[in-house]
Amino acid sequence: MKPEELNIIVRKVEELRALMVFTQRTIPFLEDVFAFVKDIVPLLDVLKSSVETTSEKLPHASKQLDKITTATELASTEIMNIVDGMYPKVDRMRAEQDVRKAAIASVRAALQRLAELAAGTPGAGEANAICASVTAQMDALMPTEVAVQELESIQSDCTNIMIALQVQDITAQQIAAVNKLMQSVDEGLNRLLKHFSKSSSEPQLSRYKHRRLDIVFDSSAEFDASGERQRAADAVVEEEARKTQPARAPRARRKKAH
Amino acid sequence: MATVKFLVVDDSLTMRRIVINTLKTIGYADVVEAADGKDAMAKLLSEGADFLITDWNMPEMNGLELTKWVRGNAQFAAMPILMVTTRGNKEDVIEAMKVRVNNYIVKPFTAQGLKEKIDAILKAGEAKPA
Repeated sequence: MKPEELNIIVRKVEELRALMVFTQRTIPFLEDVFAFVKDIVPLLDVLKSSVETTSEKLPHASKQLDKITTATELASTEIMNIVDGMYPKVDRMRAEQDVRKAAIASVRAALQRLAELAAGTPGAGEANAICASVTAQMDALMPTEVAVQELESIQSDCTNIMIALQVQDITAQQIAAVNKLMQSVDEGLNRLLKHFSKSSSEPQLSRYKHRRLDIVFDSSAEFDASGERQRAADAVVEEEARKTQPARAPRARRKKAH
Repeated sequence: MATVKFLVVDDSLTMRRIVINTLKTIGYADVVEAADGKDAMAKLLSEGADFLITDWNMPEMNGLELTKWVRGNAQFAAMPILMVTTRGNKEDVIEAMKVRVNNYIVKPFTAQGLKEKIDAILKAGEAKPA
């Protein structure tokens, strides 16, 4: 054996030794990895089970939200039916008031005429007293200004109730946005489950094919009664209107200067 | 009673009733309604209208598409259009103005707010009452 060959063998033995030392050091780490995997497998099973449960519950929750939208729509319709019925009632009451006012005015005029006719007759004093008494009773029956204002106030309240029902449309859009989000989460969970089970099944989107998902919604819809959003929109409308009519304003100003 | 005929377009039955009732309380009783843009096109062609009040988000054909169709149709091009929508972002308003709506209302609106916008549009002489 040549010395060079011997050197090679010695070097290889040293490499082998180093490998064995490395392996020896690695074994505890590998043992840890095995232990970790052993521990994680049941956890993954729990996770899978949890994902499956959540995924099964989401369509149900979505359906419940859908029912809320339906219920609020029905309630809004009922309220509106009642409010719609109140308008003609108020109108009738107002008409009755007008009729009563006219009748009282007519009776008052008649009484006044009677008092005039009775003037100079022996029973003039008594006739006057009777006319004054009946006139006072008639005046008491006259609809007061307060009653007229109250009727107007009831009609105004009806309008305000109706206007407030816009909350139904806005919440329906918010619920539709949440429903869409839930559907996206469910799709993600289903993709995750696919990795767990190695099955090729696609997410069951059909579970969401109930009517309310067809609502075309605005995810930014909000019930802001402060008027702030309207003021902001008005400012943009004015700004855009100015942009589209650049020549008009200066001309108008020149005319005013003359 | 004013003689302007309104077409109210909204996919929400509740909203349509609210807008129509509000119009009645402020003096406009001649109203036709439609549930989306396509329905509105059909109503315009069959019944006509002087003033269009439309929602933005609707199935089949949305309010923007409807506005573009109206502006592109010689028969209705000059019709006043008021957009009534939940979309209140600046970009949304700009987009609506670009397709030439006359004015823009963010839901929830008030009866007074609706009246002011309609009055302003009519005063500007953009309505052509029947």
